[in-house]
Amino acid sequence: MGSTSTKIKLRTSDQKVFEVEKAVAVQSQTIKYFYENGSPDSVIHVHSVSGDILSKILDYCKKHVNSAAGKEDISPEELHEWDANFVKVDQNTLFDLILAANFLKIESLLDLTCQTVANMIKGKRPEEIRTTFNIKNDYTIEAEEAVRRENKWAFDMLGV
Amino acid sequence: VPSEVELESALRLKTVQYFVTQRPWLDLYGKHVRPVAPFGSASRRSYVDPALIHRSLPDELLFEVFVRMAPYDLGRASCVCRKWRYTIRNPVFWRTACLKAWQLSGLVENYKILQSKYEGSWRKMWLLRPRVRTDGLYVSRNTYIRAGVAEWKITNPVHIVCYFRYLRFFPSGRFLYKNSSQKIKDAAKFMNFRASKADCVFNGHYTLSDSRLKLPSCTLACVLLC
Repeated sequence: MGSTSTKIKLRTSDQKVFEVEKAVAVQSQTIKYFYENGSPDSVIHVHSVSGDILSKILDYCKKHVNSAAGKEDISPEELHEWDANFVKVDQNTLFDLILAANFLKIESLLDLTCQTVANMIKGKRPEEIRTTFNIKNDYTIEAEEAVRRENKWAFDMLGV
Repeated sequence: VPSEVELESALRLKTVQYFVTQRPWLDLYGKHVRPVAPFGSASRRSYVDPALIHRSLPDELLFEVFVRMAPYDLGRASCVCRKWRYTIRNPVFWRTACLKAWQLSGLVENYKILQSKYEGSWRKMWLLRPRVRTDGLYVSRNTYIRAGVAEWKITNPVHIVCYFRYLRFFPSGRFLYKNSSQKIKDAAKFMNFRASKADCVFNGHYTLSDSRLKLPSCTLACVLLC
């Protein structure tokens, strides 16, 4: 490895340029498509991803590529742990990661980040969910009563 | 009788009239017109959603989050706000929930039941069709009185014995069963397929028909589901 590996150049929305190993970059289906359908040494413009987010995402891809290729000695449990730490970020970063994973088409990262948000909702009451995401309750009193009645079945296991 | 020439000119006139009819509203075609709120009202100021999740994620990505949630979490999430309720109304979620909850019936049978009993609504099926819960433990607390041995001054001693019957069901049709005096927190640790008979955990297969659940052991009566 090393000297012979191909590099792909990526330019972010804030005009930062990253030079990335091909194996890592093509974890993104979008980059893979651009790479295969463009001239090999042109710079791929990932216009909706910022430099900060892209560098995080490349860390993720690197970790997963290396562990899959056996370059890094890491057990599935350790990788899982690494993933869990990777998504321990503020909501702003987390949502940016979701947007970027979706744009770049990195299936496993989209799954990881969306599951993280899903877990933030899991087991919570509506009021707690609203607080977590700063969501405004836009129901009228009557409408809220109705929707609560309609979903009463979903509340019986809470608080056990 | 009007001549042919007259008829022709009359027709032309009509066509011309048709074309010159003013239809100013057609200028608006294809334009997105927003209703204008009365001057000075609160809605005149452009509304900024306080929730970052709504400002950041488009609807299809909110959907990606909801797709990864269990039906009970979806039910509670519906109560959060109108946007969430509307998104969660999507039958895709309820189809997934139903096909998982009643996977024992098989895909074809589930579609048949959907049409014959629930008017093609997966959500209705989820709400009305009896099911076992697979996201927790069923516990029955049982007590009985056992006569003790009479000693010295105590006559007619009795023991009140309390034990718990734990059942855990899996969507695949398997279940685990444990009789124990342990409290739920301790017993729950053993309610998985790694546990053995040494932990007093037994397993088997159950069947589900309408509102009746059948377990293989004759010591367990059929559980009527609500």
